Amino acid sequence: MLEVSDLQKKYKEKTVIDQLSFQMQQGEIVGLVGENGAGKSTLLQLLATIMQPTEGDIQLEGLSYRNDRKKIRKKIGYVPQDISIWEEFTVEENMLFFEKLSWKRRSQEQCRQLCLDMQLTHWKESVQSLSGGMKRKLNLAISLLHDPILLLLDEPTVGIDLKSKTEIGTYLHNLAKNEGKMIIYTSHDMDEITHICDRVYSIGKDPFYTELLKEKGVAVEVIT
Amino acid sequence: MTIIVTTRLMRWKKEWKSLLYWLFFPLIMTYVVLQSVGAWQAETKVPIALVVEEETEMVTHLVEEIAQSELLLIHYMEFEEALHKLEQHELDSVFVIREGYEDHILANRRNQLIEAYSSNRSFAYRTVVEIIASIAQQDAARSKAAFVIRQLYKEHGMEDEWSYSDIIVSSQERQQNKALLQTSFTFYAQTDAGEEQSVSSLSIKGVWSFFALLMTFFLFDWIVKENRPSLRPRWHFAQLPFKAYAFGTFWLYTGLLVIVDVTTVLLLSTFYKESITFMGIVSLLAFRLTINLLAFLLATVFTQSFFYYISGTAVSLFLIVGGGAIIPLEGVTRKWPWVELFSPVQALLSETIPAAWLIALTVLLILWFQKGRKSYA
Repeated sequence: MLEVSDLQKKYKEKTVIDQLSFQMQQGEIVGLVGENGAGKSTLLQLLATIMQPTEGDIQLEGLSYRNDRKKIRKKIGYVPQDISIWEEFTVEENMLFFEKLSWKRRSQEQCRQLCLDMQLTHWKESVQSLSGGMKRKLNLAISLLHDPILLLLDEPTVGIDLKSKTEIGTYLHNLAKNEGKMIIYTSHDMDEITHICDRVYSIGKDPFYTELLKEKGVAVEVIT
Repeated sequence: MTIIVTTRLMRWKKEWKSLLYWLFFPLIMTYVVLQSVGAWQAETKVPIALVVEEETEMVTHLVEEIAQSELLLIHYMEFEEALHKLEQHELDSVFVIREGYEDHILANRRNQLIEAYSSNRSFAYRTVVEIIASIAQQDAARSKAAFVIRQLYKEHGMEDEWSYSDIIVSSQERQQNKALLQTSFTFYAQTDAGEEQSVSSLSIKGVWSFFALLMTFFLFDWIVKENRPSLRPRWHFAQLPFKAYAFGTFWLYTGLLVIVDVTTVLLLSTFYKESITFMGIVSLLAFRLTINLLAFLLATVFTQSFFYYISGTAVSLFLIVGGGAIIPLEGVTRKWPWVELFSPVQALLSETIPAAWLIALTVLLILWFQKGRKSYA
């Protein structure tokens, strides 16, 4: 279980996140929507232990972010907005390179299977020759190498074709429902959010996304 | 360390051409520069003709001395042919040593010892006259001194102890052994034995150090590439934090570069017949550690390779000029010894250890390690 209590993040005098609280259970996929600058990426970075909150606390499976950051980090998979891979490597080389740096050992075959599970079949191909969708899948696969419990995805399907989006969505759905992973997902694509997520949180002051999702019949909870 | 070595080998396997290029860049470029400068010097010698009409020992010695000048390309020929070539502007100038040169010297007559001819295109004439006149003056002065000494012996009844030729030979030996005049401005690729050898060796090191600096800055771009903003989140979730990974990789590169440096120095010293001293090797290792630390710390400041390359090249040029590899700084450092601290290149050239640089860079490295450590934990 993930529990966020009274979270606050300030950059100097500017408050980006204020009094934010929510909970999520294993096997849930939670969507995070909001206008640009509302604090979605900041919240993901706080949950990913990349940033420290100004106030408040987060607990993951009973471990506090205040005291157990190193232990918690091993339970988190973070997929950044930018594609974080070696362009000059093949898919195989990328997977093996990051596997060496990972906390969990995986065989070459296991790494390959991870890619195949999300329809990433170009194992021996150079990343430079891959489509945007394939690169996004590889970006996601690398983040899953250490088998995290909580998966944080910052606009993981931005700029890719519908087929790849659907394949990633299906994969994430299976990951949550079959393996009990908790997934937090940010996107500006409301159809995608509606399709993939069990619940949606709206962040920021602009009611645009909240109203749009309500029109689609999706329950949205405003959390800040 | 196994993780660092394994992942580094994966990167090197991908970049082996670029890696090999940079590792051998200093050796190849030092050789090319030294050979090119040597060839250029040979081609830019001033062509002159020597017409020698006397065959005495003194004239032979004079001709040998003139021939040793590295600025002159000497042709030996008859007077008429020399004048013809001078008129054709194939020669800069013509010098004639007439019959009776030795007699004039022995008689202490110093005027009109050598005839000189020039044309309206003899651009180097004045300089060549100065060179040849100074060599002839040397003979004349030596001869005069010998006569004075002989005169003194005569006055004291010791004329049988030293002959005129004994005094001349002794004077020449002393001149050769004492290296009465020495300057740091030497010519590259000079392979003469004796005192000048060490000066030549400094020049080779100077050229090598510039290319070694460039190579180091370009090789250490891995820090910029592997710590670029888009890759940073990956390090956050790796079992080794980036700083520990980078520091381990730093030692891996240092080990590799030490092997390459020692091999390069062995090859260059063999080719240019330079001797290698223990302190030379120690200062080389200290220089390598210093510039690796410098490149490492500089690279941590940048997020884009391009700006890092520009800065690395600028720093290399600054260190080379400040280290006296291009223009010797002996005069300056004698007056202001602290100038020696400006560049680790100076320490390499003088075969010392750049202690101030090493201490300062180690302090900066510790500060870099400490920065952000709390927030990571």
